[in-house]
Amino acid sequence: MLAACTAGGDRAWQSAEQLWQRRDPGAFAAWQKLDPSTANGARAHAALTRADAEYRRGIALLADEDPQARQVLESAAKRAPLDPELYLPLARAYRRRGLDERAAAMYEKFLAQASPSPEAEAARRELAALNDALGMPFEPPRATPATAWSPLWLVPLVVVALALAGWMAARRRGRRTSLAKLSAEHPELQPAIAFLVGCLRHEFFKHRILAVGDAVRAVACGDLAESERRFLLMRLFGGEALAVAWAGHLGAFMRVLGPRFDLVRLDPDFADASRDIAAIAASEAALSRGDADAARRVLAGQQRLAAFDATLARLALGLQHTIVDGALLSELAADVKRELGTAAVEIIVTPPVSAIAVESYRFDLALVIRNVLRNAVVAAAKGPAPARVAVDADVSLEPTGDEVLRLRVRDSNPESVPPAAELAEARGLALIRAALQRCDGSLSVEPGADGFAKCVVIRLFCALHDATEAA
Amino acid sequence: MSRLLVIEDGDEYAEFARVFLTDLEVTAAHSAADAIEALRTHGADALLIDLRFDRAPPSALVGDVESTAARLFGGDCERARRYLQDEQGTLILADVRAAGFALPALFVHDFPPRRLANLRRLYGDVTAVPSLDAATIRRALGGSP
Amino acid sequence: MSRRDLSILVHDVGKYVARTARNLPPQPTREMIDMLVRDLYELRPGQRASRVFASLAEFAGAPPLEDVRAMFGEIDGLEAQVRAGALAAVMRAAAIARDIETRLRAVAVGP
Repeated sequence: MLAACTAGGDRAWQSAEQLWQRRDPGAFAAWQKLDPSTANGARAHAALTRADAEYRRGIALLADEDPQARQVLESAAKRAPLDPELYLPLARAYRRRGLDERAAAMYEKFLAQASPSPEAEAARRELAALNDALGMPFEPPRATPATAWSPLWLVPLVVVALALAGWMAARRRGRRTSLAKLSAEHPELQPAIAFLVGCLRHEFFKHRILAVGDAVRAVACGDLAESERRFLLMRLFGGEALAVAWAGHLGAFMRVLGPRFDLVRLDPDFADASRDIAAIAASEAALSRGDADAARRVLAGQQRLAAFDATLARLALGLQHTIVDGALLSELAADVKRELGTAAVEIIVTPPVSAIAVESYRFDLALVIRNVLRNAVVAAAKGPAPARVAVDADVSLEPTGDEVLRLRVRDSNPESVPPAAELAEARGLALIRAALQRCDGSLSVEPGADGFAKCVVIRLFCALHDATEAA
Repeated sequence: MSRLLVIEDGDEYAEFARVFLTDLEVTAAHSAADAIEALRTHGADALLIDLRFDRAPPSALVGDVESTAARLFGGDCERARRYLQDEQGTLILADVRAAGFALPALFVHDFPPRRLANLRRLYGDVTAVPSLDAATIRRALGGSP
Repeated sequence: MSRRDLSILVHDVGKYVARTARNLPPQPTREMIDMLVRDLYELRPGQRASRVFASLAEFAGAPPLEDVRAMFGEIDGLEAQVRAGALAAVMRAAAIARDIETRLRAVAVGP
C-alpha cells in the first residue's frame, strides 16, 4: 500500500510538473494539491512558498519601475507556478507603469479564474476603464439589462428585506463574541492564537496599512513628493491585494483553530476593521490622483485600524504572559485536591506579595504547577501525618536586570517516591520540562526547610514588557 | 564628551564608531578585564557596550557557569553558558561599576522598559538605543546629532 | 520561537546588517562601501547575511518571515554591483538592509 501510495504521489507530481512546463493555467492548483507528506510534495510546497514571496517582490519592483523586477520575476518563474490571484496586482503594476495592453491581459487572466468577490468586481471595473481608454469595446460578463421598473413593485420586497436584515442582525448580536473571549475559553489554543495575531499585525497592519501614514497625510495636505507617492502605492496596493491578504489572514484563523473562529462574523471589532480595509482598498485611484478628501477618509480609517492593532497587541502579549498570584495558585491547588480526593493532605498557599507576570502561556504554566503539586500531594499522602504541601513564590533581581520568579512546592514526606511510581513521575517530569523549555524556565529539587522534607523549585523569567504598553 | 570605550567581542561596534562617530576618540576592549585596564590606563568619558558575547572564549566571560546553572537553569550548564554569553554586556558593566567607574554606559539593544529601569537601579547611568544609528547614539551620549 | 530566540535573530542579523546602511551619507566613501559589503555578504566568516538569517530562522514556531527572505534575495542579487561601488545599487541594498532591521525588530519586540 505504501508503494502504491508512493507511486500515486510520484504520478501526481509528474502530472503537476508537466502542467507547469506547458504553462497550463491549472498548474498552480495542481501543485497546491500535492501531498506535502511526500518528498516531492514537500519540495513543491516549499518552492511555492519561496516563489510566492519572489513574485510579490517582483510585482512591487515592477510597479516601482525598478530594473531588478525582471530578474526577480524570472527567478520566481523558474521556481514554481504563479498563484493566479497575483494576476490582479500584476495587472495593476503594469497599469501603473502605463503598459496598458499588458495590464489588460493580466486583468483578463485574473477574471478567468476569479470567483465572485469584491476583488473581482474591482478588477472588472478597472479593466473596463482601461479598455475605454484603449478605445476597445468591452462586454462585462454580467451586463445589467436596461429595464424600467415601477417603484411600487419594490415596496413589499424592501419591507421584507428590511425585516429579514433586522432579524439576522438580532441573531448576529446574540452570537457575538470576541477574539479575547474565544482565547479565554480555549486556553489550549492560546499559543496558536498569539502566533496568528502576530502574523496579522506584522505582515498586514505594520508592514502595509500603518506604514504609509505619513504619505497619506501628505496627500491630505496636498504635499506629496513623487517618491512618497510611489512608496504609498507600492506598499498599500502593490503585491497582494489588501482584501485578499486580509481574507487570507482571517482564513488562517479558521483553518488552524476551527470554524468557531469566524472572526468577521462573530467579533464586531473585526467586522469594523473589514469595512475600513475595504474602504482603503477602494481608494487606490483616488490616492493615486492625490485626492485630498479621499486621503482624509483613509487617514480616519488608518487611525481606527491603528487602535484595533493596539488592541490585538495587548491581547497577544497578554496571552503570552500569565499572572502568578494567590488566585491562580489557590485555583490550581483546589483542582489537584479535587482530582486526587486527598482530604488528609493540607495544601498551604502563601500568595506572593504582589502579582507577578511571567513569560509563559497560562496553559503551559498550569500544566507545570499542577503536575508538581500532584506529585507533592501524592508524596505527602504516603508520608507521616501531618501530611502537608506548601506553595509560595518570590522574585529575585539578577545582575543582568532580569527578574526571576521562584515558585516553591514543598511536601512533608521525607522519603523518596517508591519505584513503581517513578516511571509515571518521570513521564510527568518530561512533560513539565518540555513546557518549561518553551518559556525558558527550569525546575530543580532542593532540600526542604521549616518542617518540609523536599522542595521543588520552578524558575521562570518575569515578563518585563507591560501588556498594556505592547503597541 | 570625547573619549568612547567600546566593549564587544568582535570589532563591528569599534569600526562603526571610528567611521561614523569621527568626532570621538575611540578605544576598544573585549572583556571586563580589558575594559577595566583601559579605564585605569587611558580613561574614557562613556562606554558603548555590546550585549551578546557569543564569540568570547568561556574563560573570558564574567559569571560562573555552574553556579548560574544551579541558580537559574536546574543545573543545565549549557543553558547557563548561553545565558552568560547572551547577557554578558550587563555583567561586564557590573564588574566595571564594582571597579569604581561610574561613567555613562550605552547599550544598543531593545530592552523592555522595566529591564532598563532595573539596569539603572543596579548600575546608575545606563541608556539604550535600538540601532547602530550614529545620530541617535551621539544624542544619547549627550552630543549634538 | 521564544522572545529570546527572536532577540538573537535581531542581534545577530538585523543589527549588523544595518550597521553601515543606517549611516550612509549620500556619497559614501569606499571605506563605507567596503563596510557595507562585509555587513551584507560576509556577516560571519564565509557566510553572507542571508545565509546567517536562514540558519537562525529555520526552526519550529518561527513566524513566517518570507518577506525578509525575499529582501535578502534581492540584496544577494545586487552583490556584484554593490562590490563594484555602483551608487544606485549601494543605496538600494542599504535601504533594504534598513527595512530588514526594522522588520526583525518589530517581530522581536512583540507579537
